[in-house]
Amino acid sequence: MSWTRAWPLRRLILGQFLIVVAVAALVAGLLVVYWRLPMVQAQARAEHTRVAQLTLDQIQSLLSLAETTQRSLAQVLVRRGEALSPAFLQRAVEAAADTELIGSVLLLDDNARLIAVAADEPWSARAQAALGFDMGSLPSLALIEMAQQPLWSDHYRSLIQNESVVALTQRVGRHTVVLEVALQRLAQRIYRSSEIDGLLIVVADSRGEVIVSSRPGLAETRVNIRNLGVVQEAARLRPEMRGFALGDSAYVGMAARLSPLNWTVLTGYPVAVANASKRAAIGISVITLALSVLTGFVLFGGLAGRFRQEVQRSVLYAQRIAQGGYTPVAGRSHILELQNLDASLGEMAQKIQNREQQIQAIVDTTPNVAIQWFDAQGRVVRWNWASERILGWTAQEAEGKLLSDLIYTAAQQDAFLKVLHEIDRTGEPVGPYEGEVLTKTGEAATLLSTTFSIPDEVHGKLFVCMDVDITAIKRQE
Amino acid sequence: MGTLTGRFSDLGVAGRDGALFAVEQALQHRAAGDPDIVLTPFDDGGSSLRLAELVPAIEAAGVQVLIGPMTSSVANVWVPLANENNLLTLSPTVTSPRFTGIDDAFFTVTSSTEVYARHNATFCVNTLGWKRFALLVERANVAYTDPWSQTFVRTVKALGGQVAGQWRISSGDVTGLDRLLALAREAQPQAIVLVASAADVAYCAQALRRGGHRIPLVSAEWAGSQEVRTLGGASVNGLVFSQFYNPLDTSPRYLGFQAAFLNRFGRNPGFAEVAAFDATQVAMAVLRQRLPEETPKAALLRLKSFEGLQHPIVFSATGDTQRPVHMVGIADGALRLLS
Repeated sequence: MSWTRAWPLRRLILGQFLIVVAVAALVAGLLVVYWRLPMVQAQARAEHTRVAQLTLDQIQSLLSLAETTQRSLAQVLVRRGEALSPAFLQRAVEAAADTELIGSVLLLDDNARLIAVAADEPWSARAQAALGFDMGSLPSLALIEMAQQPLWSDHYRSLIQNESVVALTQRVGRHTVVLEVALQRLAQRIYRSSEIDGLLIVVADSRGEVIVSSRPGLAETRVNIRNLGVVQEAARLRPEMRGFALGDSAYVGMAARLSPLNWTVLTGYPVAVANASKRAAIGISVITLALSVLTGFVLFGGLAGRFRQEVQRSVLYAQRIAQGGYTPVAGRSHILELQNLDASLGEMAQKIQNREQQIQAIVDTTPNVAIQWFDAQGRVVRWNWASERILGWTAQEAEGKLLSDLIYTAAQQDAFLKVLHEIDRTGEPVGPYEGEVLTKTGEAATLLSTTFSIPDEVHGKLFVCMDVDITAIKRQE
Repeated sequence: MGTLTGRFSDLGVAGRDGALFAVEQALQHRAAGDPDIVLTPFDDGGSSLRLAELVPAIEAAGVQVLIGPMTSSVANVWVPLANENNLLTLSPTVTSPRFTGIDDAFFTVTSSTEVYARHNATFCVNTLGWKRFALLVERANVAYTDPWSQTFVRTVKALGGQVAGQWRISSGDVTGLDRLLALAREAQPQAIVLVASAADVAYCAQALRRGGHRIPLVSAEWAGSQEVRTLGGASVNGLVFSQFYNPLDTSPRYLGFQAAFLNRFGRNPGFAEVAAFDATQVAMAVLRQRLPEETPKAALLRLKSFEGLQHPIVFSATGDTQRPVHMVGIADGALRLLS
């Protein structure tokens, strides 16, 4: 019989479970790395793109408002032709300035002199004081000479509003119209509709100077973000999600370019927030896996323990049967197959017990066949009732003794041991053979004997000698 | 540390950018063993009252050398605090003479206001031939404007000239400016000297030219930024001012700096950027070359001489320098080097 390596049931079941866990962990890990994390990143990128586009749209919409106002003013000026009185011009620019966004409207003559101006409070007095000033060096005027379209300038400090503005400039006949929008107003309008917790929104002009920022201090101190990789990518029209640092804070985000102005809109979340989704995805996967493993260990461990206990009971029952005990072990399995096994063991025990009783009855009650069991040294192990009757020695007296102490001479004992040795060597029975013995009372008896071996769980092997008393036959002969 | 917000923020932001540019360049070309340089901006808001709040933040940031402040009025309050905390302070643009000749923690990379004002007055009298002046002096930055105007007046008088009148102006007060300009004109000077910011000088020039008054205008270095031309337009043509640096320098080194600065910040550097760049180079050299256990101030005084962008910077034992003065004029909207 070949030897197969065996494992305890509990270890086998948990081992199988660990293999399942390892495979599950591998699959989960691959899914997180190649599916979930890219998806999280794509979601973040989509959100940034959406917010950047939203901000761009807002700025565009606000600037469109100024452009519409300027177009209207230009149409009025063109319709009037040359008949433009100072009073009319003043009314026209005051009407144009009457919007929440536009801080001041300047009308310049062909020498770039300020001939009409309107501004919100508190700048109206300052605006009127500037009438007649030369505005030829305003940033957008140099370019407007060559352009037919209205042009937006970079930000500069307005002489009228005395704060940073961007200006929309357009030539209308001999005149130039300049609409100045204070960056602070623009910023307030953008914040009002773009407030998302933790989200950084930065708008930088074409020089890279921050003009609007949801984080206090960046716009006020005109931080220049031109050198940030994320901004440079946007300038190359290859917007890309990247990490960047502003001041002492690190962010992850992306930038987009507002084409007419060459402004940049930068959106980002603090690294801790940006990585939260990634961490959450990994965390959920790890926690799910850990809980699965823990639950699996508890359930499978318990199941394996119970299974082992119940199998152990069946094993115990089988061992008891093997040792000649036929009483079932207490308890009843809840596993159908083990219940069937126990039932089969019970049936088997019953059959074995029946056969044993039958054999025992035959052995114990047969009157003329004396049967003795011997170990390898020839000591009596068992002695039946017929042996008592024929040989005179009771089982109690005989068991544990050699036949030379009972019915044999020393020479017969040696011959008997040789027989046992021969049977042990060949496995073949010896006999029937005749032999003379002395009974307990000293009478001679002739026995026809057959000796053979049988397996025994205690001694490994026993030798059985079956004798028929033929003394009477011999006497008659 | 500079005024990064508010009315005078142009100077502070320019200084911050000049310093930042120097640090970024140093980090790009950092050699093994060089100290790790970190530039932390502090906004004094143009108010000396805010400095007391900044001191703990500066201490917490572990600042070893402070670049700033940018204006004399802030320096007036800051210098005692710097001395108290033994913090080496290198100012790019503070020139008030009240800080010179004193062995303390305050150093500057520009000459004293007296040098600029004296040079300016001498140039106006001796070269341009003007003898009679009226002065309009801004009142918010008196730590700078007062010594400047006093030196100018003293020099003019010493050279045989006259001061027809002197008035204080408030920045942004257009009504007051118009009235004081009228008073200044009525004094019939040969030139009006404006010791004020670029925006105020531009406004005064506009107001005078609108009235058809061609009277020459002179200003201090403070107004010598791009803003004076943006806001002044053609009205500032003919304006003469003294300057810390040569804006028309054609040396390869300066042109290289100018091109790199333009590439980084999208604009040309001005005097504050150049001075802050120099001050930061000095600070970084001190940190790189100081000996173990040596304080930054002791290291600076030991090294004493540094290479500036346009000129060598040599410190006296009391932390003062003599930087060349340039007289600059505006013609057809462009700068012209006059001396």
